[in-house]
Parts: sequence; structure tokens; C-alpha cells
Amino acid sequence: MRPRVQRVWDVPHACWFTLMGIGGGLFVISRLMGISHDLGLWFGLPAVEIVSFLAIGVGGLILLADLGKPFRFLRALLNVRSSWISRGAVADFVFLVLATLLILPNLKFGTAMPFSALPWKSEAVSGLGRFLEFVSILAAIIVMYYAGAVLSDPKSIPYWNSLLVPTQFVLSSVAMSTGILLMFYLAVGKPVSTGLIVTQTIFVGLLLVVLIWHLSTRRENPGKAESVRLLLRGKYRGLFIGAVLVSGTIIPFILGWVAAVTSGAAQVAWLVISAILLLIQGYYLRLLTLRVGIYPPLR
Amino acid sequence: MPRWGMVIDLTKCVGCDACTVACKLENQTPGDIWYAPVIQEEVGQYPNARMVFVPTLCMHCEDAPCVRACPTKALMRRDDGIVMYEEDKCCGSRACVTACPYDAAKFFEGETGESLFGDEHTLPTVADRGARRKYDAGTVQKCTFCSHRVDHGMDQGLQVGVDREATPACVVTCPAECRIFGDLDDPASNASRYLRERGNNEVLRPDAQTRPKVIYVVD
Repeated sequence: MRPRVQRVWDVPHACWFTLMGIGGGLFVISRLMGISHDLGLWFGLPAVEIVSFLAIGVGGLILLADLGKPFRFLRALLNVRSSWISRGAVADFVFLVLATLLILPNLKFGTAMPFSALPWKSEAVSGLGRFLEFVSILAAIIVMYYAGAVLSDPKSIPYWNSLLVPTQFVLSSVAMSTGILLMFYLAVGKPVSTGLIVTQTIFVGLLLVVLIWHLSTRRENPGKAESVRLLLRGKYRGLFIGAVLVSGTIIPFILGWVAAVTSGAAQVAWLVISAILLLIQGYYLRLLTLRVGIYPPLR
Repeated sequence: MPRWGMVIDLTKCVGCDACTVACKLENQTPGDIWYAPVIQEEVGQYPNARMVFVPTLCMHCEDAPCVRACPTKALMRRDDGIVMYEEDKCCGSRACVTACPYDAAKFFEGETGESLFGDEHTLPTVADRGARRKYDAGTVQKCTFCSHRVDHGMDQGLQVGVDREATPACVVTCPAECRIFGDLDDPASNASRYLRERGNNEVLRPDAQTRPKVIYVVD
């Protein structure tokens, strides 16, 4: 009997997974590194976090549009006990609500700050602010993780059924987000954080290691063998090797180290190229992972 | 409480697709939705080539990955082990479709209300037993082990798996009698006895660890 390819999840899900990864990553990294308020403010709110909310909001809307019954989306919160889609949906809601609350006191229209009376600040200096920030970061981490967990949880598709899939997605999310954060540094004209460049490069390196690890394990399973064949020798070979492995991880890894030791226009060029390549990689990593979702023969 | 299951003897299947068609008639599924397809494949090489037929359907797994993956709890296992779905709860995420190793969950993309015969020509027996006649676009459908027939049989005091009225349509239709339905926990049921007598059996995709309740008798 022949292996069978899954065909129900494709481009909309790849967009959804990518945007969730970017959104969650931007918030987590900017908060953990304490840079969210240094990279520009829009109406008094951290621009990075507005972009994070937009990414997650648009990602959620893409998912809703792809549901067979979009108006039943609230029911998707019901099965947190076992469904990663439910857990992710809850995390999305918690993140969007609490993170919005967290930054709300700093909202500014001209000189008016309508929510300044709230007993915390966006910078999370008070106990309540720190609590909101902590829960928001936790929810954002789940947002980054759950797309991969949705795929890895069932055993039906061997290529997906591995912790290395969510790990790849999280590493890719961090790489894409740091790329965007570095663009924010360039946009606001601040000296680029070398620590952030090094962080990005380390995560890209880890992603490369995990990708190779994932490709090289459980090859004896006919479903996984077919998935790997499609990626390395089949119809997705060009995109996977080109956009994901070489220009999506190996080149940004090299560019990262080069950018860390250079400055001026050259550094800007390396960082911009690297960020673009990482975004392309992030999308195609997810899309190709979906497209090589292959069920082994039934017997 | 019984634990309904099905035995399919692959050594008897002739690949006539009668089960597939009987299921479609019984459940009146819309155009491209087939709950019980028979996979046909040529194996071996001339002069030793032969056809292999594997009738498939929902395996009503003990550890059903579709139930686990469904975000809306539209899928659930009944106490008698039949995995059911509630169309009104389905949000069409298709998580169950990707989670099922057996391609048993079918996403219906057609027109709401579409059915095999339309409203005017439903079979009265089916309607009487409460089988589905209308399907909601954007939701997932699947085999229910003809739960309407099983439940009807239980209500009427019939023997499930023995009396035709109380047995899934694919089982009563099979001309080769390769399908046996019954209580897998009852050693006296037809299904349990057949398994004991025929010995060599297997389940599909054992690597998926779903503990399916459709068991195949093989050479």
C-alpha cells in the first residue's frame, strides 16, 4: 500500500503558524531583554508590541477564515484537556487581553492619557505590572509553541510526531523575531544591540542543528522516509534546501557573526538581508512541514 | 456495557465494494463523502501478481486521536466504545482529519443539506431510525458503526451483530460475509468467536497506538 499525503492544512495554516511565531517571539524577546520601550512608541505604546499584537491578531483571523464554521470559534476553547488547538486558542486570548491591559496605562493621545489611573505601568515596575507581564510572557511562549505541538501530538504522521517539530518552530520564531527587532533598532536609529545579534545567530545555529537532527532520525518509518525524500530529493528539494536550509539558516548564521563584528552600512546590509532570509525561511519551514505530512501505508 | 467492534476477514473479501455502497445508501452521505471505502492494490509481480482488498472505515479507537485533537469536543467516545460526532459542535478546524491515521474523518465542503437523494427521496427505514440525511457544509463527518441501527436493535431487544436490523449496513450487505460485528468483550459474540477460531489477525497502523476496534483477519 502507498503512503498518503495530508491535504487539509496548507497555506492559510502556514501563514497562521508563522504570524503566531513572530507575534509571540517579538513580545517574549523584547520583554525578556527589556528593550520593548526603547524601539519606538506609537501613541505612547511600545511599537514592537503593537506589531506583536497585529501579527497574532491577523494570524488568528486567518485561522478563523479557514475554519469550516468560523462563528463557532469560541467553542475551540473547550477542550484544553487534550487539544493543542484549544490550549493555543486560550493562550492567544489570554495574551491579547493581558498584554493589552499591561501596556494600556501608557496609551497617549496628544497629552491625554485616558488609562493612566490604572495601578500599573507598561514598563512593569510594580507588582501588578510584573504579574501581568509574567503571565503575558508565559502565554506568548505557548503561542510560539502550540502550532508545532498541534502537529506533533498525534502519531498519525511520523514526520510531525516529534518534539523536534515544535522545537524547530520555536527556534525559527525566535530567529524571525530577533531579525525584526534588529530592524526596529535600525528604524529608530539606535546602535544595534550586539547581544541581540548574537542571540539571533545562536538560535539560527540551533535551528540548523535541530533541522538536521529531525531529518536524520526515524528514517526507517516509511511515512517519515517519504517526507524526508520529498524534502531532500523530491519536489520540495529546491525550496527546502534553498529557502530553508541554505539561505534560511546557513547564510543568516554566517551573516550574524559577520554583522556582530562589523559596523556602519555593512552591518545594516547584513542585518537587513539576514532578516529577510529568516522571514522567508520561517514561512517555508512551516509550509513545507505541512506539505510533507505523510501517512504511512495502512498495512 | 458492550464494547462494539468489527472483525474483517481479508481472506474472504472479494473487493466488490458492496459495503461501500451500502454505507453510502444507509447514511445517505453527500457526493464525495465515503465512510467505508475499500482500498484496492496490486501486489507482487507477474506471474505472482494479485489484488489485495482492504475495506476501511472508522476504527472506533479506544485511544481515539480524533477525540483528543478536536478543540470543540464535537467528537466523543460513547460508553459502548462507538466514536460519535456532533455536527452542531464542529468548527471545521480539521484537526481530527490530520490526527486520524486511517483517513476516517471526512471534511464536507459541499452545500449544506446536500445528501445522496435529496429531501424528497430519503429511504423511510433510514429516516425512521434517525440516520443522518442532511449534512452541514464546513464540518467533519465519519462512520458511526451505524449507531442508529445498533441503538434501534438494543431498544427492540434484538441481537446486535446477528439480527440484520441491529447490525451495521456494511456487515449485512457483504456478500462474502467477511465482516462480523459484535461485542468484543463478550466471548460468546460472533466477533469474539470468529477471532478466536481464525487466529491470525492484525490492526491497521499499529504504530499509531490507537487501539482500534476494527480487527483484520489475515492469511
